Amino acid sequence: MAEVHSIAQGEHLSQIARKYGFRSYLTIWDHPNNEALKKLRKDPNILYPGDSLYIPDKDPKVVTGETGMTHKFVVPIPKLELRIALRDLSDLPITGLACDLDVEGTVYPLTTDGNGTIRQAIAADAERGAVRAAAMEVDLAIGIGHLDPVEEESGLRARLRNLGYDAGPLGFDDEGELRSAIEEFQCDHSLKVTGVNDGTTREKLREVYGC
Amino acid sequence: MAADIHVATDGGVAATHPDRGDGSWPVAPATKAELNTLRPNLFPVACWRMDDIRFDFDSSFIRPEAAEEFGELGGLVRAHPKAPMALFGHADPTGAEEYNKTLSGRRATAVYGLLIRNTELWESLYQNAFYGDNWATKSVATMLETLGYTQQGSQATKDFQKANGLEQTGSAGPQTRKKLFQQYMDALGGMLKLTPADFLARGADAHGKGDYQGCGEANAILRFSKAQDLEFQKPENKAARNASNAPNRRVVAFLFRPGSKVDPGKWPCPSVQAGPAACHKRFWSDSAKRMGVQAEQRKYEDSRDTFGCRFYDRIAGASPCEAPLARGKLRWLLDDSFSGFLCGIKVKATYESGAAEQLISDGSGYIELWRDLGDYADLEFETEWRKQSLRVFVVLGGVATAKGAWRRLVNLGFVPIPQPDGVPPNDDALKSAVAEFQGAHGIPPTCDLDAATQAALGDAHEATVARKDVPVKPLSDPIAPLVPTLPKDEVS
Repeated sequence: MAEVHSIAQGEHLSQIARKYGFRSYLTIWDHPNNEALKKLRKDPNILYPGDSLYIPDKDPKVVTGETGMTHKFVVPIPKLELRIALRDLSDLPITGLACDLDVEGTVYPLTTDGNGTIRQAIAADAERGAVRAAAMEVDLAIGIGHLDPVEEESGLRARLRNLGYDAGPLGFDDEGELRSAIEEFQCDHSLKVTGVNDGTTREKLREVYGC
Repeated sequence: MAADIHVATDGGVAATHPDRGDGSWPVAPATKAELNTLRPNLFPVACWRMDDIRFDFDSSFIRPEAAEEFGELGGLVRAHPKAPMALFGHADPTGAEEYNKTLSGRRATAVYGLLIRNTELWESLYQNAFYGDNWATKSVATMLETLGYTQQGSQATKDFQKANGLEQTGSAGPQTRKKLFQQYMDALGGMLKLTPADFLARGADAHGKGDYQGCGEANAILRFSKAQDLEFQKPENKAARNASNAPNRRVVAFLFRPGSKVDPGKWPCPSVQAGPAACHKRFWSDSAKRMGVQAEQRKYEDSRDTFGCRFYDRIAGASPCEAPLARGKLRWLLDDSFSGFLCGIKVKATYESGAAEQLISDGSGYIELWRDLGDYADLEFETEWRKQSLRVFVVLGGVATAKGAWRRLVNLGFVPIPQPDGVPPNDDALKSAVAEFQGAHGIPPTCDLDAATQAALGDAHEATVARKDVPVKPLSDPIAPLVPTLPKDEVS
């Protein structure tokens, strides 16, 4: 039965698709009933709690084949990855750094590339993890799928915080800290320093953060 | 996480910064080009402040009494090994901006020079007098006296020269000053001796950019009201204005998260040699209002709007050295497995220090516990069903450490030991509590403090406990009352 799923904190589309038994999140995302959501959020990996997602009926595929023969079926499953770029206090990429990416207890030893980036294929339902680099005293617990859209204040604060600007503890209101973070970000990226959360700032933040 | 320190001396403060909590960093997974850029922020773990009273008047020469504050700084440095330091000098808002920037920079330089025992930095301050900041006036006499050479006139200098194998000229030339600076620095600094590598930019810049700087008048912690300012502008009130401005004149050191390192080329603060122009780029967009005179008097600890520099505000914002009169409390949710949230019940809290208080939980089931009366509090209360006695830890430590995880597990009720110690009695006790927690939270039961467990434990604990700063007592008004000057003929 088709139904409407209300997004909870930490949910993203690949995870939901898996939960409802779809091989590809695109079956849900590209459904005409989700057009408005698609237009609003743009990115199936960055949804907001309370967003309504239409879950269509599964459309069983019927394939006929002769008995006594071997049939090979190829089902494309979109790949889900985690990509993290590490930067130092001077905002330079940390290159060639050996670090451990821990995803739900599985540890992947990785090395950052020339852009300071690590990438790893992850399971659709992976939620908890950590990035550790002993050499840099880095030990960051991560919540996969917990990033909110930049248009929402929580998403703005999260990106600023991840970029090293104190925007107040997540989940707490501190207007002074948020304003300071916005101004510092604007100053660092040659925008007009206003302290105001406007479209230009959000677009730049999305670009600098990476999504 | 080192033990919480909060020491106030006659001329300063040394304190641990509040713990930042252990929440997780939200990231998005990628099906296309989504990237998550993570940059750990620059945050201090501890701070130290030396007040105006520890300098000669209007000078960068450090008074001998500062030995007390350097002793406290030594304790702080030992408690935070590998945490690099940066120094920020501050002046009061009176006088020209350039003058204030230079004088505050000279005071920061004097402290830095002492910490790394660099006599050349002091010699340069000595030789290059700056308005009233003239070391030649009395620094030599003060240093000789401090070191025990108390003879009158040039005899003290001769005695010092004799004791140090120098030519006994009776006047302190460069050679004598070098020895004198060395011994005076040792007398004040004691065991505390640092190298440029112990500072935030590791001494990479010739003029200490990133390691020590003067903020000038930008970051006053006290701004006068319009009425006070008008009064203080009268020439006869100059001394009173100066006295009232004393809290603004200070040198603050921050110890940053271990491993923090900055590139001086990217550091926003100008060096002590440069003018204040580069500071302006980092000023708040409404800095004129923050730094200006408003109708009411403002203190940083109350209004948080007296610093002009946004960059400094960000670093110093939560610092007990800049808003020193806040004591931490934790809001604690009493959640009983039988009765649910316990609202309006009487709780007796006995802290590790022995201090005890009677509390009543609020309408949502919260009580508030002090964070500075020991590592734990023993709570006693009665519900409809039973009498309860339980121990909760108010000082936690990082969730990744055995101690930090253990204390959270105790607080969340996964440790079946009455009044447990602050560290697990053995590995098995920790493992079994971890396993219980994993079972209750649907995490694979590895019995280990793996990443998933740490994150879930940190989050579960934060859902029970919230941090809160509580002003302990209002600061006594630092503005000296203005005594009206009576015309002479009216005095009988």
